[in-house]
Amino acid sequence: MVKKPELKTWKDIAVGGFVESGTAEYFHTGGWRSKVPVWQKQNCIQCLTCWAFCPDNSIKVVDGAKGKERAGFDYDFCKGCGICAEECPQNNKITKELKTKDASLKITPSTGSGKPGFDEKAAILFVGLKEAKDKYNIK
Amino acid sequence: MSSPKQAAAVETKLTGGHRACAGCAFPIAIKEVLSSCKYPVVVVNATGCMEVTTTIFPFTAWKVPFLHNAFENSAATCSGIEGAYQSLKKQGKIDKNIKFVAFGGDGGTYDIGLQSLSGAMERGHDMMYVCYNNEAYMNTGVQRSSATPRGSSTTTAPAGKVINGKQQNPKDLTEIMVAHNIPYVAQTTVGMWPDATKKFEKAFEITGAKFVNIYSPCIPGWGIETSQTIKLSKLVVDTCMWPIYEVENGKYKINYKPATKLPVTEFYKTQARFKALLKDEAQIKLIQDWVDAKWARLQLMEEATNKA
Amino acid sequence: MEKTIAARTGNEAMAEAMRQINPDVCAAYPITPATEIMQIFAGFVNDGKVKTNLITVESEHSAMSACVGSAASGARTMTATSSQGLAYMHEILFIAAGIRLPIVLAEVNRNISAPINIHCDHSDTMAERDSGWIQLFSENPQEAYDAMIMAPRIAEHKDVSLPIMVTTDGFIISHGMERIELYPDAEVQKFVGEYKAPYNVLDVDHPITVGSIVLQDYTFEFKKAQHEAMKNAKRVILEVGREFAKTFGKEYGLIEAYKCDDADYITISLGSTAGTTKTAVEELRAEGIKAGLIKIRSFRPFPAEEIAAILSKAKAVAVLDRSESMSNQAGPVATEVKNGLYDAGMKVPLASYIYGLGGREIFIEDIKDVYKELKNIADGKSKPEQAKYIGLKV
Repeated sequence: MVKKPELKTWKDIAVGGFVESGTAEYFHTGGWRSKVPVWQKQNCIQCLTCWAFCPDNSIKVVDGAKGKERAGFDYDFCKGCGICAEECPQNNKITKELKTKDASLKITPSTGSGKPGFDEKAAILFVGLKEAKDKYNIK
Repeated sequence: MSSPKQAAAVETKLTGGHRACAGCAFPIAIKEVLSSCKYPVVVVNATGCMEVTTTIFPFTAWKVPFLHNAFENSAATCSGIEGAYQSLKKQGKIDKNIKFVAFGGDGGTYDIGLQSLSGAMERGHDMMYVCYNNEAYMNTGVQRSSATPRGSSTTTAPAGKVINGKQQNPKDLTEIMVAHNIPYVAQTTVGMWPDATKKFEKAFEITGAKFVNIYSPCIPGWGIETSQTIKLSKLVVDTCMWPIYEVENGKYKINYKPATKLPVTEFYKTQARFKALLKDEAQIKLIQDWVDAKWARLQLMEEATNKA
Repeated sequence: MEKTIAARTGNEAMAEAMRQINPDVCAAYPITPATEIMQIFAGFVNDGKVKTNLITVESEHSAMSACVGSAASGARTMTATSSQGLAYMHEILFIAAGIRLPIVLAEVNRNISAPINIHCDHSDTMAERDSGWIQLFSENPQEAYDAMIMAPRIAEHKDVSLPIMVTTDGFIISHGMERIELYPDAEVQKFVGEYKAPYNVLDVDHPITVGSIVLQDYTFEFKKAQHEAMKNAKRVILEVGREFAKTFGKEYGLIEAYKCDDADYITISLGSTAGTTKTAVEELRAEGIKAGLIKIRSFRPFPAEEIAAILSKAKAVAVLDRSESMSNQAGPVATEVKNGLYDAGMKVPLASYIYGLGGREIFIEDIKDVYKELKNIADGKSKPEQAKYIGLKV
């Protein structure tokens, strides 16, 4: 990982102000979150759609038996947009199932959390800060 | 095309810690472009949201060489880098096969950067220009651009009591690029990962000037929920307002034809920027007719350019 | 060293220097009277006499933009322009200087529109005096040729790393043919050396970000570094000038003081007018008037202390500006000279003149009249005027 930039005086600025690549990893945007995605490993189908559509590089991946596998969220960077939950195929599947059962149900894959039958099968829950802390121990 | 699983095996070229809005589309576009490149790549970026949110000194989210010059000149700047590369390669001072990408928003591409883009494309530099089109000047606070759709409310073309939002249809920049007779021109959208990555992969293998216009929703500019970026970037395709197609050496190919073509209002009702337009039936009719005609024309172009 | 004596216009001399320097990239757009430089150079490119990749862009804005891209990519980069072309580059000139790219620009001084006029004055170059570029003026094709050879060395010096424009006066120098001494290719190439890039975006193994957005926390420090680089440029111009003298036999400084040692009356000018003034000085001295001339070669960095030191014994001074700043006080050169004198605690009588706009000719007699006016001022017969137009139809 690149060194953390520490510039104290004007003499520390490189010529023309160029910076080494990737230093934004030292700037954490997790504090922006007003909602929190929660990964439910047991329901995850490992398609990595969430990785593809995460704007903030907050889906951790690790080496698995069949190539890259999803791990947890990187809450240092996750801004809580909810795209991962909204686009998750498993979430979409369960949303569709629940809506088929109850046509009056007004949920989307990112707003289904807490509705009966949703949390048990969804791969990504999208919950409030308090719930994330109290129920899932995510700060 | 690489699946997300395959793409995830490649080191991410844009780190977290950038300051784009939650749910912003362009970091996804960047991922689609850069994960599709098998070669070392140098990025040039026009001034705009992408540049100001990813490079706040002394932090930078880019893990590839990156140069920002000004607003209207990312194509010309990229052409200078590519020109240097060609010179140094010819002299034997570089042996690597390096690719060049210039990014600009619709303001920096359709409007103020059009001349610079046209020049670079005409000169045939071996580079790809990617326009991330969010249909207004978002970095300066949602002013209308020539990419803004008719009836959209922006801060310089607001939905007023007398004039209801922008009164012109968007410029068709993709077709202007086709008219440059460059080897590859395409339209895609951030929400269609397989289509987008397939196009970028293909473009990186083509020598010469390439242009890809990628549809990139904007959370505050459109007035949408942060989670809706991908949904809306796909919904627009089903209305045929943003057709997914490519033009390779003059031959058109529509990559996606919606099974059911949705009325434009299906797209409008999802966003605050079209709130006033939805009450303006006359204007909606004009837009729908225009979209239908454009879609018909595109299909004719596909047919015409693929005749034996 | 075997020098070739030749007849060359300023444009030919600059193109010749470019051929010998053999840059990696040139990006340029035609504009009168600088067009010819790139026309001649394009011939060198297409005849295989240089290795340069010539990018024939669609505007000067793109020319400078491409130069920025190129110079940031480890490639020695040059361009040429004039007048509206330089003005159209304006925005990117500041960026090139701010991100410290040692681009070399052959600039042919020409009037800025309106009225549209293709002839010489310094309004284009003076309008870019705050852009952060080093600005060298040339009296004749020889000086332009020599300055072009020194330009990469000055610009690329690690203590400087700033872009540089070498200027000639439109048509007067650019198209005026004069005797010139040309140096052997090998000697020029040895003097100029390999391009020393401040950084390189083509170094894909060591990726960097250039052109970041810098906010309130560091922009000030950024500018201080640039300010110090321009200070260093003063020293480096002199160092390179001395080295040039060792190799090619002619020394260049920040200014040229012509017959100033015992001069009572000194005029200050730059570019081709200095040549005309030298003749006026000779004629006046023959009449017993102790006239002298300061020719400013480096307008950026500005040699304020050097000028003040020479003016310390003068009885009266005139500054001749070939551009307007519309301050109603003085042209840009006179303003700078006055600043320097104030800082040196000097209050020598100083008259400032505006002349030669849009190519209006200035004659030896006009300049002699200026000296005679200086004598009147020194004798208490008249008061120094400011921004006085000379050679005007009245």
